[in-house]
Amino acid sequence: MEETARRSEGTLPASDDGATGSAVEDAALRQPAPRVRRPVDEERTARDRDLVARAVQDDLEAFNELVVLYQDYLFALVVRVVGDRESAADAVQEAFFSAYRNLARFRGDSFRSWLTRIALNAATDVLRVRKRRPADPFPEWEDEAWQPPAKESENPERQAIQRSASRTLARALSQITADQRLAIVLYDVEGYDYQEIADMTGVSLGTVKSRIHRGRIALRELLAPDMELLRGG
Amino acid sequence: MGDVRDGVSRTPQRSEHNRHDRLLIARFAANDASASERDQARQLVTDCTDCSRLFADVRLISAAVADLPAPTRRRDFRLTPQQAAEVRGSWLDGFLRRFAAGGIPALRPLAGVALSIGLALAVVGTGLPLPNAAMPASAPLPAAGPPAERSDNGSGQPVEGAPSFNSSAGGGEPLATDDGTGNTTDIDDPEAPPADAEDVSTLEAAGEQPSDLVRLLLVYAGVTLAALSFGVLLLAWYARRQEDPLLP
Repeated sequence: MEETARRSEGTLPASDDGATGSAVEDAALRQPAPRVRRPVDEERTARDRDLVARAVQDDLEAFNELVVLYQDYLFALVVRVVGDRESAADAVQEAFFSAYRNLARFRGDSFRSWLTRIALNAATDVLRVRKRRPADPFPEWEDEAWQPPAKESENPERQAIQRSASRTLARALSQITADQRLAIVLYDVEGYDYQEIADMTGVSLGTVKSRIHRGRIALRELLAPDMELLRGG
Repeated sequence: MGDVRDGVSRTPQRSEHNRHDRLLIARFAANDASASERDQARQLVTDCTDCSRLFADVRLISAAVADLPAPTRRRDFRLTPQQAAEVRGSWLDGFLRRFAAGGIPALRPLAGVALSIGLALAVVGTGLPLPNAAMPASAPLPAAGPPAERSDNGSGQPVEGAPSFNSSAGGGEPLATDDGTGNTTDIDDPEAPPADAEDVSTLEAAGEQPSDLVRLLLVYAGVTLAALSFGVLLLAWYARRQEDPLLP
């Protein structure tokens, strides 16, 4: 029953016997709903501008308000890109230092985007250094902190499957190229659209799309033996 | 070996699937295929089991990535006053940051224009683009010529009997001698047309001094402007080299 439902959602391929051919067709014909663009949060922009204006006048409290507002978001983004907590924390700290030092030069509409670009540059620096001195590229995939928080209502077996699926997916994500990973994280996790990602990463729209699609195909190849785990999760 | 499921070898179809455009399927799954590609992709997904599986898997992976948890933050990134002071740096750092690429956006273009204007003024001031040879041959004594050479005894009085030559006319003007009273007397140059002595003294008195002043002003203003602009450009270049590499 569940299997049929997932087939009709297009998340489960038809079985090879051809008996569910119509389900395949349904899945193919049903395109995902157009990506809903996040509405421009005018209130947030105005709030950020106000805080930036105060911080420029050496109001450290105002800047720290901005830090509080964005530190969780930035850390979650950077840690997905660089793969370990310590490097991510260092990169985010550097990003906030850089933002504070150059606050007077912020002229864009969105402080969040500006900050994200600085943090991504810091993350790219981490990856560059790591490439020069290869060690264990992603030491923390096995860390329990990466696992989704357990819900009391879920049975232990399901929790174990979910954890295993997350770990497998995270490991696969670490094995695709940094450019593909960054594009996928920004698109699928953070919800930026193609143009915003192109602006942030300084590449063309076509390159962003290509990185996302090729990255997903690469993930699928890496995850091929474990796809059932993902479906079961 | 081919993929065998339900007793049916999938090898022929799998090898055919390898020729299918997987990127097209991925674009289709993300609702990102163009109108012309969509029909082709739909056909592949309908006809090829592997393409159908790829289509579903790409969507599943995309959704799973979105739900992937991240470890929680353990560090508080708020700046302490000490950190803030350290990060801001000295007034010199702040001053240099103003000259960096994004500090004052119009600074470098303006400095470039000012440098050009300054150099142009200096060049015009030195008279390089206005050589005397470019003046018409019949023109009167040029106002901006160098002062007449005189034989002088050091006391400001001309040496008696010594000839005084007015060389400002480029060879076409009459020569003059001093008669000892301070007045000059033209010496007839056989190759030069006769000229009136009054014209020469009038031009010397009225024309040369103001023209030199203008020239001097132009040169000084041009050189000063060019030097200042060059300094600003140099600072901007240095500031750019010192610029924070993390800035977008």
